[in-house]
Amino acid sequence: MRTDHIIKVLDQVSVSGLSEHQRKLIAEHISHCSRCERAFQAAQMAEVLLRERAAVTTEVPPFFQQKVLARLREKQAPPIAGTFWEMWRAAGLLISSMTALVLLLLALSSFPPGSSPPEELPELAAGFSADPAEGVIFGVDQLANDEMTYDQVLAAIYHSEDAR
Amino acid sequence: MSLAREGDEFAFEEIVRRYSPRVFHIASRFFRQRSQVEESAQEIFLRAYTRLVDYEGRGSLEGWLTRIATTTCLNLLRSLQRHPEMSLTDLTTEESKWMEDRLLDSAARHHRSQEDSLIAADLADKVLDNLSPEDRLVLMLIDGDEASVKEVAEMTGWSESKVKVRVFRARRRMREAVEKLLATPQESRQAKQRTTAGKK
Repeated sequence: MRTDHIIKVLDQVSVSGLSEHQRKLIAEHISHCSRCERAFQAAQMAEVLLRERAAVTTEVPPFFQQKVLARLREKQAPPIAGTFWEMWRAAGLLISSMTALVLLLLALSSFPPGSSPPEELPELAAGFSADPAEGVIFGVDQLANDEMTYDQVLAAIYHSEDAR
Repeated sequence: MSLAREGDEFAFEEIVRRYSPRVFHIASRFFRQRSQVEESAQEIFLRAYTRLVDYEGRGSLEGWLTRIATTTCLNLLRSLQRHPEMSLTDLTTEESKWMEDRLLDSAARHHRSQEDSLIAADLADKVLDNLSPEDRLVLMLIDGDEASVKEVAEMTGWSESKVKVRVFRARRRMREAVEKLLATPQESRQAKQRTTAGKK
């Protein structure tokens, strides 16, 4: 008998399922083949282990049905409203637009003013129409970095009188 | 069944009560710890509830539930982390002794105590952990429960040819794993004793 033949038989049929003829052939072979003898012993032990393992049973614990139903109801229950994630998804567009608006306002407020304040012009005009001389003087005083000679001041005063 | 399909909880509760033993039996083929068996049994019934609409009434309800139980347990077992290949030093002293006793008296049916049975079941789990979930299933059903190839094919949805090929390969892998354990049990026990003495 070929050495691998008995091993093939052991893998095809369980030890308890061997026929008498097969058992006879195996016994004859393993008497002079230690390799197959170990294989046969391992097959026998494997089957015993499987039988012992199969004999282990777990009984149904009390109230098992109630536990299953409780879990079923838990699974079927609607998700909790007001969770952060649902709120975020619902308000995402609004929050995004508000954030964009705030950023825009910050950007606009960060630009510096480019010209003199407009409130100063009406005062200057008021100063000219009410009292030209004083207005000129006030106007001269408000002129930034302008230095006028005495002749220029007189010319400016009398020019305004001639215009009235 | 029709009431359960319409959402009648009392009807479904009756199904759970009636078929729990069967479902627990199948789940215990895959898992050893009671908590895992119960957890997987709950998963099986929850899945069955969602698939009630798919049950067309062909075949028995028990057979239909058995199939769901088998596939659910297979999926659960696949998701668990596999143990590394066990070595001889992973055996406890009791397990090594059990194997040696079996070798010496493997043919005779000697009286086995409950403790011996538990040791053997633990050892079987260790060896089966080295197999794939599918191989474990076919071996437990065919060699453990003495189920027929046809019954296993109905439970798993596999063809009978596939079941035969699977059981052939599974037996070979289990036999090879046990051969490794049997290779040098005496040396292993001595090494373990030396290790234990060194730690003390």
